[in-house]
Amino acid sequence: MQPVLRGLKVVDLAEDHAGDMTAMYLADAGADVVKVERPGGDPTRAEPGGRVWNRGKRSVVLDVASAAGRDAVRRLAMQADVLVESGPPAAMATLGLDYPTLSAGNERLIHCSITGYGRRSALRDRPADDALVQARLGMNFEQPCYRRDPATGDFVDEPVFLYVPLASYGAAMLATTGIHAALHAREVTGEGQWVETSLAQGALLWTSQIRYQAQHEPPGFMTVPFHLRGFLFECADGLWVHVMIVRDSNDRLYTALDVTPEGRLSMGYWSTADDWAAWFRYVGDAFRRFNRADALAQLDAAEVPVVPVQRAADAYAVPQLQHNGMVAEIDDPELGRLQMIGVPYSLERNPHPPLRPQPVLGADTHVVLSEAGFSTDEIQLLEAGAGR
Amino acid sequence: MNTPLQGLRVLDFGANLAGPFGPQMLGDLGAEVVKIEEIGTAARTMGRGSSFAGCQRGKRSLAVDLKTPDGVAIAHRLIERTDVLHHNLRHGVAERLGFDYTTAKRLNARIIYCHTTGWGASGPDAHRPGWDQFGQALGGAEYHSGGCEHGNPPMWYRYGMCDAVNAMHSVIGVLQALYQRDRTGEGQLVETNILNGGMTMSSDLYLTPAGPVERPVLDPQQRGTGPLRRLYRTADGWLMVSCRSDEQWERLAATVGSAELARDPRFATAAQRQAHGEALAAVLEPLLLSRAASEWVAVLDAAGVPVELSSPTYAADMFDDPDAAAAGWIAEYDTPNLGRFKQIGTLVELSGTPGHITGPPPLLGEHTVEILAEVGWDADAASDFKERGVVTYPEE
Repeated sequence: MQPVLRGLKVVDLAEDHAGDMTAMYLADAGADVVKVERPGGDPTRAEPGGRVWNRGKRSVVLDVASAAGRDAVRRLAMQADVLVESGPPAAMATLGLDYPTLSAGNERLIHCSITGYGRRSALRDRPADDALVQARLGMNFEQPCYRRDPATGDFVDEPVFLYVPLASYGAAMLATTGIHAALHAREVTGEGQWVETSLAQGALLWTSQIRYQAQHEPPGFMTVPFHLRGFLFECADGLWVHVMIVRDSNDRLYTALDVTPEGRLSMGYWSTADDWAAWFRYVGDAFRRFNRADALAQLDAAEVPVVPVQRAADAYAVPQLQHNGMVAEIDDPELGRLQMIGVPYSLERNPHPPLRPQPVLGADTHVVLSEAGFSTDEIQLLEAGAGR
Repeated sequence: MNTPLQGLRVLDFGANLAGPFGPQMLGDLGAEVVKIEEIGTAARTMGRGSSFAGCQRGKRSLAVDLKTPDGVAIAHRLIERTDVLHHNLRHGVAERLGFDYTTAKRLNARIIYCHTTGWGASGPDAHRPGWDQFGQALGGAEYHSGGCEHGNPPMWYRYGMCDAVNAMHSVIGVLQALYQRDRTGEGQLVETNILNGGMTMSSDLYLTPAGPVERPVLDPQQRGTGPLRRLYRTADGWLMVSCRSDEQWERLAATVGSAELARDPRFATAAQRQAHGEALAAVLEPLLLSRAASEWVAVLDAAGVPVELSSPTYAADMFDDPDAAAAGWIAEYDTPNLGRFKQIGTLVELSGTPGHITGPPPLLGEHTVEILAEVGWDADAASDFKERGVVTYPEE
């Protein structure tokens, strides 16, 4: 069978992680994604992730600062099923590339807007990117710092910058979800619609399991019961592991790591925070007597759930991730053969198409405009206007 | 059509967070989600009521013992009429309890069957149990978020985001299968897992023939990834600075320092600012320490410099913020066990067929009787089932 989105025409005007990745999800499923770029290219090309989030697209350079460039984008949008953009709402309206304007000429268009804080929030005019949104959403203080003060040994009580751009990832997954829901709805109604999400909502996605306000419950975070606890331990060689304690694994862990007799505490639902702190000290001492490879071998043999804490690059060597198709090989015209993430989910009847690299800037301008019915003269004028 | 997934029936056999969060998202988009709860399992002891609420809202609950023949018969009748079956149970459980893909497809040829796992559908480690923690550890999030490059400990994100990524990928896959079924009439199997989700959260990392692509590195204090993209301490709190362009840097320098700083040749280009990052941070730290965070926000807003106050109260404040409620970011309802309850609201908006959050998480078996009635067992039959321990439901 064909990829599920084969034949779907997407115009990608996005210039950020969230928007680019949204269109990546569509391209990964076989959609024909035309990435419309400013002269000089989408600034995301300068980020490492750009080469991943722009894979499988075709690149068209058009200058929306010019009337001819804007008209050309509108013509592409008139033939599109989906449009993805991440511009400020007021600017998109001024350019005539907003949903009300575009849908007037293409009622089947699914127009996806990704903003910082949405159009309805009081924060809508705040400057927004992943770092600013994580701050404004309170995420720097929601994550306890794991570092200890060398002088006191206490945990450092300071905010933490979230290295993983959670707001952008969340927005990309929500936008992709909304677009697909709208595709299904269009099969019923025949009409497109405006799909909107924001970096703020992308950030809220991750908090939705732990944030709440309940009349009959004190504010706070989810507590994890005994039968499911995760712990980070450092081994003798300075490498770390993440261990899960499940119902019956604690005794096996004691044996596998040869924990001292006084350290073999009996743990359960009744255990207090102090009990766990004592347990953590004893087991921590045990881990520090093993190099990580040896600790992992002992624990694996004892069927104690554990994995190494490793660099992102090390994931490419994990056999299960290779088996899952998450190590994709792509021949990049500039860098040669790359390994990047594959497609993280699968459909039995609709396999994903082979992944293709990020397009060379403007490589498809002529072909795409020609397919869209532009004459050779029009294309030449547009290319000249875009500084080519 | 009032919601995009109006009329879509979803059966959720999942447990914990990584599974049920997906059907909840489908429910937010209008699907009718029935949560199948095994009588006597630990699913509801996962956290307090509120974290359960974070992935079960808007569902109806049927509590049933799938180890009884009548329980299996009930499940099968529900499977016959569902559009989607979704679960994250370990390999072999669905087979044992009679709702595996082969059985489900035999009962319902159009079914979209979504199974999410910890490690994968097959392969060398597919039998291992999986948790969010393993996605974060193996995918690199814990290493790079802790600043392990500097000898720091790794850091686990308490958001459990790899569970949620697993769920979001399951939603995308289910919606793609639905779109396919719209056009062909055929259902299919959708699969994803937590490990794939973990690797996705480091998607900007790729390997070139010369080695891994160079990415920003978190500083040892975990404040940011460079002098102009990090948290700074102010006189009374913390300020997030995120400047990308030369112009933004020059305005920041002129506003917090001086025109000379803005012209300092060491910091003329983005590459130089990053290369001299420690020197630049050392210049900015005392300057920003001199005034309150809110004052800096005011003057830097006026100067066109992207900054944001980072406050420890922002997360909790949102629940009492009328603007957040007006934006739809907060959902609020009365619950029998938690009282007045507020949680995160609408995450994606559709103009023509908006989604809607229908209400709080169900009580265990709250809808058992009405769901049984919908598939042909009347109240007497329900009562009989309950007496024999096949189902349960709260008394009126």
